[in-house]
This record gives sequence, structure tokens and C-alpha cells, in this order.
Amino acid sequence: MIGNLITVSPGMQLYIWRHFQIQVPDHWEMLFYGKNAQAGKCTFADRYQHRLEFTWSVVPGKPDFTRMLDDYLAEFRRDDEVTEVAKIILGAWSGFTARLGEVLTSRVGRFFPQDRCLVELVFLWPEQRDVQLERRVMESVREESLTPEGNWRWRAFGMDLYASAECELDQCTVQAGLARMTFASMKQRQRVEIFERMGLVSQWLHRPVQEWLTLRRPLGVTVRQDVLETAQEMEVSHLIGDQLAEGWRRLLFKRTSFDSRAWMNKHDGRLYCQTITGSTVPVTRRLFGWEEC
Amino acid sequence: MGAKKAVLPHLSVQQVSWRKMLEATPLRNMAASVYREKNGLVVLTVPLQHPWWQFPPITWVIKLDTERKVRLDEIGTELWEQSDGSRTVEEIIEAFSVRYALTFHEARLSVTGHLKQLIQRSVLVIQQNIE
Repeated sequence: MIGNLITVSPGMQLYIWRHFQIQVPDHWEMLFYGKNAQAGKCTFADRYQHRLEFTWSVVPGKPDFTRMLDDYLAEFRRDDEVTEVAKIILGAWSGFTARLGEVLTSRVGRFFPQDRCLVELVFLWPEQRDVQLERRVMESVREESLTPEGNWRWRAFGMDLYASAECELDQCTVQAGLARMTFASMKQRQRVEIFERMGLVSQWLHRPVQEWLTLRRPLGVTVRQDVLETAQEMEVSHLIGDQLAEGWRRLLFKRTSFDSRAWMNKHDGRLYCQTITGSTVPVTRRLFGWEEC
Repeated sequence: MGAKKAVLPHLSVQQVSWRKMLEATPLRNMAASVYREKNGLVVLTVPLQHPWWQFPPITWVIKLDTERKVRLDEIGTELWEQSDGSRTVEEIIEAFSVRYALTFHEARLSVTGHLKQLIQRSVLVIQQNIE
């Protein structure tokens, strides 16, 4: 399962979040994120401050951008503190740049018909506006397509992964040296996909990966197969088993599948772990990492 | 949740910056005495200030600690060693991110979390650059 080939501009890095691709300078990092597919926001920052907000919102239909921008500008012009107001039009993007007090911003919006989604980008310019960069970021925003296998691609926090379209992003944890994204099915309670990337490994991993993986399995999991495989030139510890189903199905001693794989990525020294439960078909996911596009 | 009316979400934008924090310099508590264990980890004994009411005969009844022992873990020891006044928080984060192959913000989270704990335990203080 290899994603669509995406050209990433030099000095930029690709993020894929909520089925949108966006490229930002490679020294910017995503610091805040939204999980709600209907409306949310991600914030990117450089070393010193927030630089870009990426906001999405599902709307009933294509908005009247001209009217919306005029309303916006009218509101801005009422304020004496607002200076350097100028319109921005680039392809389907439209917006304006303005200085509010000391803060220089560019705000652009665009409607994406496939998802009926209104996307807004707000750039913060601490020194001066970089029109080239603004243009590159705007041009990079695209809708991501579902893979033929029925998975969505996500790329953030050092993970480039494919999660089943049956599942939605349920939890996301980002701590120092730990990124974890949990996808859960709203229809099928047992169906959960967890992707983890762990750093500072030398500080806490003092046993072989296989042993670590076996020890961290949830209570109630019966391991049927415990194998070491080689995939993408990496040694992968793989546990296959099952566990008692949850809810009323437990009363009938129904069991559900458990599949967990962990591997050390020799390129970045991180420990990766992928756990998929409740799948009705064998899991054939590609190992995830921060791959070249 | 259903679809919402089409409006661009917000007008005001906060300029969130942590530059001042990065420019600050952590310094060791010079009053603390240092003991290094065989494994290289540092144990500090930090003298505690006496409260104003601590005098006899109260001290005959209530015994208060006069010092606090703080045993640093590997990362704590590393940060304490680097906090000699010659490096800013940013430089310490930079070195930490290289050593543990973390991104700058991953390292920032870890380093500032540790520094906060060390400051709360009076092991370090932060000197703000006032320029």
C-alpha cells in the first residue's frame, strides 16, 4: 500500500490531516490539532512562535466568498488599528492581508467541494510577509483520496500511516518522545487501530522489542502466534492473537482479533508500534514511518 | 454534528510566542551541595529557609527539615550539568534534540518539563534576559 506520489517542494515537509495535504517549511511543526472531522484547527509553529493556523469546517454548500470577504474587510476597516489591508486572490483561494496592531497576518479561504469543506489558512508574519512562501503553502493544500484498499493516509508527528476508513480519529497524544494516534470505528466497538512512535528509547527500553511487545499486551489477550519477521529491511516483532469481545458479546464468549507489531526504525532510532483489534480480515498494513513522499 | 453556516471562523489572531523563555538562562543554586553517585547521577542537598516563626520553644516541639535532598535522574543530571550559566534554554534544547534525535519542539517539551521540576525543587533558577 503505497500512497499517491506527492511532490514536496525543497525545504518543505508534507502533513496530511483530516484528509487534507498541506506543505509547510520543514522547520515548522504541528503543535495543536483538532480531531473533529466537522470543524477544527491545526496550528503550526516555528521555533519561536505560531506561524500558521489551518482551520476546516464542513458547510452546507459553496459559500459566497466575495460577500464573505467584503464583510470581513468592512469589519476590519471599522477598526483604526488595522492597516496595510490588501486582497489576495490565488486560484480558488481568496482572502486578504492586514496588520492589526503589531500582528501582520494573511488570511485566505477556499471551498473544497469533495468534502464540502471550507478551509481557512491564517499566516502570522512576525517580521515581514513572505509572499512566495504563502503561495507555496496555499498551492500545496489538496484533498487526499481514499486508497483502493479503503484507507485514509495521515501524516503528522513523525508518522506516515494508513488508517481504515471505517475508523475515525478518536484520540491523539503527543508528548515528549511519544506520539500516539488512535482510530476507532463508530459502528463496530471492537475495531480500534493504534499507531505509536516512541522516542528516548535508550532511557526506558531495557529489553528486546519482542519481549516488550508481549509484556504490554492488554489483559485478556491470548497470543496465538509470536513471530519475528523482516519487512522493509527492518526486524518486526509480531503478535497475533485474540481477546474476549466487549459488552454482551462477552457473555457468549465471543472473541475478537488482536494484531500488534513493533519495530525499531534504524533510520530515526524510534520504536514504532501498530495495534489493530477487531479486524475481520487479516491486517496487511505497510509499516509506517516518516517516509519520503 | 451537522454542517454549519459558511463563515470564516475568526478575526482576531493571538501572536503566541515563547521566545523570551528560550532566551532565558538556567543557573544552578549555588547554596546546594553536590554529591555524585558511582553511576554518575547527581544528588543535591538544598538548604531550606527557616520560616519566621521557627524559634524555640516552637522548634522543641515541631522539627522542620533544614535541607532537602534531590536525586536527579539521567536527564536531570544532564540538564543540571548544562545549567552553568553559559547556555540559554534554547541552546540546551538544541543539544538535547541532537543527543536524543528529537525534533525541536519534542525536545522543548521534555527539557522545559524537567527544568520546571528542578526549579520547583530549588535546584535551578531562571535568569531572564532583560534587554
